[in-house]
Amino acid sequence: MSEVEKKPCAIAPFECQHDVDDWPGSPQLTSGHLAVSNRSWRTQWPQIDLSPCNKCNLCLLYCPDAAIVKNADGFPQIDGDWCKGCGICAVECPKQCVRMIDEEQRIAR
Amino acid sequence: MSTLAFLSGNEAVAEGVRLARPRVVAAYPITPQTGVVERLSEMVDDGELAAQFVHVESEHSALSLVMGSCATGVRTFTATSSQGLLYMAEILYYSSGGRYPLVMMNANRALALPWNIYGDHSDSLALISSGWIQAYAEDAQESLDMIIQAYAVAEDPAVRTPVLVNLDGFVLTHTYESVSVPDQAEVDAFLPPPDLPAGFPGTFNLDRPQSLGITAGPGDYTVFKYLQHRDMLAAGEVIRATGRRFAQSFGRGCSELIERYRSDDAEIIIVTLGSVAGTVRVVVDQLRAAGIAAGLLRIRYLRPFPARELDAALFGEQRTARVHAVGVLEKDISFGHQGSVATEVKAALYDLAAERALAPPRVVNFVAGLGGHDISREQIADLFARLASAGQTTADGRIGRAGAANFIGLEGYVKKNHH
Repeated sequence: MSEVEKKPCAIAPFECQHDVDDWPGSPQLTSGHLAVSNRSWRTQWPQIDLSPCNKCNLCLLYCPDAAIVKNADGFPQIDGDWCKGCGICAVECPKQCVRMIDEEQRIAR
Repeated sequence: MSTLAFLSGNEAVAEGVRLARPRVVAAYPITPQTGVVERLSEMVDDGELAAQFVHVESEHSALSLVMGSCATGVRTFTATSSQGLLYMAEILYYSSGGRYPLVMMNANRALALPWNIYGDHSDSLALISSGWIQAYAEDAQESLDMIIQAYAVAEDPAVRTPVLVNLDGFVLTHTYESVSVPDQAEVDAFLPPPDLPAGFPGTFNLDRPQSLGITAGPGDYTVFKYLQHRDMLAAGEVIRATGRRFAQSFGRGCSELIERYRSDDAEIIIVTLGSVAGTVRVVVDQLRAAGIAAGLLRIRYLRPFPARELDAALFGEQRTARVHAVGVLEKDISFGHQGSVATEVKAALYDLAAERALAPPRVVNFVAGLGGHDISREQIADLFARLASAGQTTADGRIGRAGAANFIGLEGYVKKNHH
């Protein structure tokens, strides 16, 4: 499992709020939230094969959206709400663990 | 115990601000607002007001600075006028959309070009849709009282909307009156420090970092704008309740969004706002003494729009006579149409009359006082005479056409009054 598991509204709470009475009182949020996730932006998905990974965490450092986090064992995981599919992690990984695959086909699978 | 003081409108505002105990004051000087921030800087210097006074490089920065300060939950104040208010325009929308409970004073002044430092309402009316509550004071006492009430209204959790308190440049900002200045303890009881519960939007601090001014996509944006509109409408009742509470505590003041003066049996009524209402009041008394049924409606709050008060004043059960004609006397012109207040009043009357299945009264727009031009008692008496003749056809067309902005005060400049 290389994608972070979480409740659907953890990152982008507005996306799951349908009653205006539950709406935030003003356009301010506790830090760590996005109003709208980047999920819909990407056309490609970084598929990670962890077997060659030596936990150097360069992918985590190079990711421009902080969409890669460490799991409990120190291996990288993709946060699907933040990843916009840019592919920088695939280029920077010295062990070629990351392969960009078609997002539509991934979702269809 | 309150004390009587001889104060200008600007100084009365400064006293009201001092009593409200803001923690941050930021301002950039502009005539005719300068007096209020000069006085506040003296108060900070003398230790009468425990606030940080920040000299900023522009009005844009002044409003941005108090907005940022307000995000940490403290009470703030700023003031501006004319070009300065328009320079703030971006932040007016930003701060109302952010739901910051700011209070600002605006010294109403004409807009350039040509350059003119005197009073009219072009500046605040240009920003009527900016999401700020708009109040218009008639005299220095009401200016002081409105400032104190403005904080109570803006900070009400059901409102969370900034308030702009408008004073006519020079006529009000620079004219001295006897003003009752309340005691600090009385104001503290009426207006306790802002009490924002933890987690309330805007309670930003280092232990609880927040993202301020977030993005919202098209549908989410609509919800935020709907809530802004809903809460602006709800502000009307909070303004009335705050005014009633103020009257109980201090024994004075109107709590309605429109003040009625001898209007319930009036057949000809002038609707206006700001300091010129004082002159209209004198003329109404003169005409009443001569047996003419004239009346005045003074708009105290233009946002939220006082539709309920307008309906009650013109169609309410207390009326003992049918309104023959209404004149909207205002110090601005929306070029190519009419004055902004007349278009607001007419639009509201169209809906109110339709709801009551009545024909709305004839409404004539009088544009006067531009760039500080005096509005005399004689001119106002003439406007009432024109309203009394409304509906009749005269050769000289002097009555004023209902669908036009009728300029007052051009008589000395043009041979014929062009509409």
